[in-house]
Amino acid sequence: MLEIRNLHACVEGKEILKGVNLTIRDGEVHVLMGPNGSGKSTLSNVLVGNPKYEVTEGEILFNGKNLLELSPEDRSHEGIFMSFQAPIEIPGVSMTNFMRAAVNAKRKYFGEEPLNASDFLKLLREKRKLVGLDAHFMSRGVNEGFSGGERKRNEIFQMAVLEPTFSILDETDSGLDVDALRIVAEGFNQLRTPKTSAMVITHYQRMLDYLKPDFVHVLVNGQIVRDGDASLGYEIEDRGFDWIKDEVNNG
Amino acid sequence: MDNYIIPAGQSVSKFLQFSPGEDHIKVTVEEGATLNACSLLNMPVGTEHSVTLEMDLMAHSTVNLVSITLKTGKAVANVHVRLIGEGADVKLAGAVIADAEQNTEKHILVEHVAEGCTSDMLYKQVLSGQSTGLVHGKVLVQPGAQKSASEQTLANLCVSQEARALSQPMLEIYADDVKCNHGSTIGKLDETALFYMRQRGIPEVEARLLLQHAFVNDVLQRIPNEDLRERLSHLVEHRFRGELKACNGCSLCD
Repeated sequence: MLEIRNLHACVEGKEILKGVNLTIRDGEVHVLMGPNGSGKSTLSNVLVGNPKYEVTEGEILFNGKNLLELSPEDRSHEGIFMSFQAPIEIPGVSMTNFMRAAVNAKRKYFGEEPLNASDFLKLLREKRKLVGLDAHFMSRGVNEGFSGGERKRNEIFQMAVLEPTFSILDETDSGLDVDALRIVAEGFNQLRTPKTSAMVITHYQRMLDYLKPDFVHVLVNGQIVRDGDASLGYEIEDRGFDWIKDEVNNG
Repeated sequence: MDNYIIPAGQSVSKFLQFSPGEDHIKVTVEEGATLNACSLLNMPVGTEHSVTLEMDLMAHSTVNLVSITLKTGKAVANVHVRLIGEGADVKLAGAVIADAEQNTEKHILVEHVAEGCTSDMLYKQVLSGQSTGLVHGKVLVQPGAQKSASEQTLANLCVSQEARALSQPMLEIYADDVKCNHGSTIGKLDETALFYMRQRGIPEVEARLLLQHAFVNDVLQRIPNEDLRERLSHLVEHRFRGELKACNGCSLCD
C-alpha cells in the first residue's frame, strides 16, 4: 500500500527526516515510536502533503502512485486520512457543512453525484454512534467548544465517514482519559478491514494493548533505527529510548 | 431626508436595499419600542453611495441593525446613534465584502447620553484585490451616563497582499462607573484551518470560501428573521464565489 524510500524532509529550512524507509502493506497496523523531536509528526505531515514541510529527497508510493505529486485534497480522496495531534477549531463552519463538503468532494473525484440530504444525514448518524458523539455536535462549528477528548473522538468520527484505506493517528491518544481512549481505540478497531492500514504514533502502552500492532518502528533523529513487533513497544515502555540511542551511537 | 418614528411600545422590522446616490435617514425610537433593521448594499462597481444615519433611542428602546455590503464602487456610511433614554440598547453589526478597487468607509459613533444604556458593535470586513476598507468606531460616554456598558469588535480579513484594512476602535469616556470593551484585529486566512480542510478532501478554493463565509457568519447570525438571514447568507456565498450580479438588474447594470 505505502512505500517510503529514502525520505528526506525539512521544516523551516531545518532537515528533520534524514532518509526514512518504510513499507506498509494492506491490512497492517504499524506503530511509530520515538523521542520528542525525532521526526514522527514531520513524517505524518509529509504523507498528507502539509505545505509547511518540504521534501528534499526520496519518494513515496501509495498504491503505486507517486504521492508527492498529489495535492493534499487528492491524497485524501485516494484514501489517506490523518487524525491530527491538535485538531483545530473552525468557528462558523458547522460540522454538518464541513462533512458535506468533504464527502461530496470525494464523490466528485470519483465521478459520483453528491449524496442526497437524507442519505447524508443517515451516514452521519450511523458514524456518530460508533464514537459516541452526540447529535448536537453536528450543528456546532468544527471543534468549536469541543473538549480535548471530544476533538479526538471527532477525528475518529470523520475517519469513519470518509472511510480511508490508510490512516495516520498522530498521538490521537494524548490528552485522553481511560474511557475516552477506549472509545477512540475501539472505534478505530471497528473500522479496520483486511484492506485498511494505519500508522499510529503513540507513547502509551495502553494504545498498544488496544491496537495490537503488526509492527513497531523506532524513529531517532530522522531515521528508523529499530523495527520489531509489539514486544518492542513494550520494551520501550519499560526501558525508554536511551538504550536504543546508545546502541545506534555505538554502531 | 427620510424621517422614521418607531412609536412607543411597538416593534418594527425593516429591510432596506440602497441604490447609488446619497441617503440621509433619521430614526427616532420611542420609549420601549423595538427596531430590527437590515440593510443591503449591492451596487455596480462603478457607482458610489453615501449614507448618513442618525438614530435617537428613548428609554428602554432596542435597536438591532445589521448592514451587509456585497458590492460597490465607493461606499461611505456615517452612523450616529444617541442613547438618550435610560436603559436603551443598541446592537450594530456589519459585514463588508470588497475586492478589485472597491473602497468602503464606515464612521460609527455611539453616544451614551443617559444612564444604564448598552451598546454593541460588531464589524467584519473581508478584503481582497486592491480594495480598501475603513471602519472607525467610537463609543462616547457622556458625563452622567453611569452604568453604561459597551462592546466593540472590529475584525478584518485581508485575503490578498494588496488589500488594506483600516480599523480604528475608540473609546471616549466621561463617566466613572462604566464597562466598556473594545478590540480590533487584522489577519489573513488561517493556514492551519485551510490545511485541515484540505486533508479532509475539501478543495482549496472551496475551503477558502467556507472560511471567508465563516468569518462573517456571526454578523449574519444577528439577523433575527430566519428567511432573510438565509437569503443574505446565500447572497454572501454567491458573492464569495464570484457569481453575484450587482443590484438585481437595476438600470445601471450592464
